[in-house]
Amino acid sequence: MSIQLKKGVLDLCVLSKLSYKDSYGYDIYQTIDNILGISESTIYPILRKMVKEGYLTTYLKESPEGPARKYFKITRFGKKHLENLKNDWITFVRNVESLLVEEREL
Amino acid sequence: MKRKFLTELEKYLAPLGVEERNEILRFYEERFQSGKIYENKTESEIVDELETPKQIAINVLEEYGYSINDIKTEDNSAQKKELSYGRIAILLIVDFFIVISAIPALIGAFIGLVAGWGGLVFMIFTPEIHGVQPLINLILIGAAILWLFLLFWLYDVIVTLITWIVRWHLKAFNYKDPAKILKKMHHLKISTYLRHHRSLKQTKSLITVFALLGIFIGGIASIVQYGGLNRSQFNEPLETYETSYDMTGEILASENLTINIDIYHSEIEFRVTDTEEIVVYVKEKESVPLEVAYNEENNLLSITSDMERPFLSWNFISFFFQDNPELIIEIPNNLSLQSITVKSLNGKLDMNDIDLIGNLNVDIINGDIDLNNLSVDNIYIETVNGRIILKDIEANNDFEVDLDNGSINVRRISALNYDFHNTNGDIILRDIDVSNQVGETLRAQLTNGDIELQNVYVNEVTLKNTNGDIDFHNDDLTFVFDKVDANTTNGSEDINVPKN
Repeated sequence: MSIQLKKGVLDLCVLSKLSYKDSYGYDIYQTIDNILGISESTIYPILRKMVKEGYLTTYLKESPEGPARKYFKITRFGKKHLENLKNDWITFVRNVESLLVEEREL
Repeated sequence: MKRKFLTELEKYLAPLGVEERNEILRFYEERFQSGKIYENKTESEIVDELETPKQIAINVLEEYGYSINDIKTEDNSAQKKELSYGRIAILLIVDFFIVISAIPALIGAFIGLVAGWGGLVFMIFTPEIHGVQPLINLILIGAAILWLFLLFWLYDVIVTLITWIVRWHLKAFNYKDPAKILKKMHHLKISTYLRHHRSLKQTKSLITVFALLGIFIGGIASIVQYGGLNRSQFNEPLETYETSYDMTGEILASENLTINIDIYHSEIEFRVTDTEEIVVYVKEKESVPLEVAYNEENNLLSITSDMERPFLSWNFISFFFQDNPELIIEIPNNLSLQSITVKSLNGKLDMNDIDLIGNLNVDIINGDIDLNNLSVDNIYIETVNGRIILKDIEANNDFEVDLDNGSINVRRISALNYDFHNTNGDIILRDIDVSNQVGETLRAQLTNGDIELQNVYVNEVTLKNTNGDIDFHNDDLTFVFDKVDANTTNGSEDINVPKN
């Protein structure tokens, strides 16, 4: 999978993951890494960018075992953006799929 | 470990604003802390897990829309320590070519020049080679000095080249302190040494000037002395060596004399006089030892040059300026001659009014041959380059002419068997056996050029040509040939004679 294609769906994956549960940077990276195999240093600037764009907010959460961690939480605006991205994705996948099927039948 | 990592990362992230930079750094700070606490890892384990600060910075800055060029590279020592295998591969390929070509070529050139220099010095100390010419020695010494300096320069060039190669290798293998080695090599150069020793350098410059001056003066003086330029200005008469050998007393006039000439180069002339004297004259602008000897037993007069011409002789230069040397042989008209043999490399041959009981042999590589009014038994002429003109010659038997480049022009001759051979040029034969005996065979063979026969009365005629025409016309059409065989590959045959 090309890096450009991965980066295209990175926003969708991050927002989707956070729509279920708040999480911290390293955890987000590990999940995304499992799916997309993307480098740590690519994820962090994107989290920072989504905070600035208002899709995410952050808060510090104390942990019983150690120091506080910075948690990311999806905003309402982020959820709306996630819906748009999901629709885009489904349409995109369908279109590509139909094209590939057509090609097979030819 | 962590500090170093973060400091380095911070430096690489310099293009970002403070706020953004700190945000990114916080991610990594958190990574270290949680790694230590939650996963019980050491700092170095975490560093190993992470990408290098530089790689992180490249990815991060790319996300922020920076180009890779914006990343600070002022301290990229980390990368510098890595060997570049591509570079080493190129290095090895180039090394291979240097070993098989450049180094042997340079060494060969150097040895060649040293040997040449040695030859020059040898020549200076053995003046016999060039005939004890002080002017030549002046030029040779000047040349030897300049040559030596050329060798110095070439040596420096070789050292410089090797220094470059060494520097390149040291760089490719990340040698820590190349400057020290390179400096040492720099000191091997003669020019470096001279730079540190000013007086020597000045001496060298002075010697160079003297050498050039010597060559200049020697050259000018030689041209004036030998070349004939403005000779009168220097009030120096041109020396012409004229040696005469009077052989009259020695030679037994009653016997049949044989003359053998074997020399290097000269214009040769035979003169028949009314006197009783046999005199050999040698005229030359330089004394060339010719040996004129008479052998009583065989009644043989031989004229030979007893030494081989050296390569670097004045003829080498004066060839273009001065006249050819002359060799004149005066013979009384009542002297009975057996045979004459002339062998020479360069020069022309003139011979008039001579009767021989025996043969005339001529063997000249380059030069014109002019023979008039002779009577011989056999005549054999062999030349490579030149023009051959033969007139009024009577031969009892064979008449052979062999030439490569030039023309054969024959008039009013008679013999029994004729053989003419040429490669490039014409063969022109006129009035052959008109009044005297009738010749038996005539053969003319040519490759490029025309064969022309007019009034030739020989029983069997064979004419062969490759590129060119054959013309054959006789005035007396009552003479019927036994055989006329004319054949040319590319050209026309115009034969108008009666035959059986």
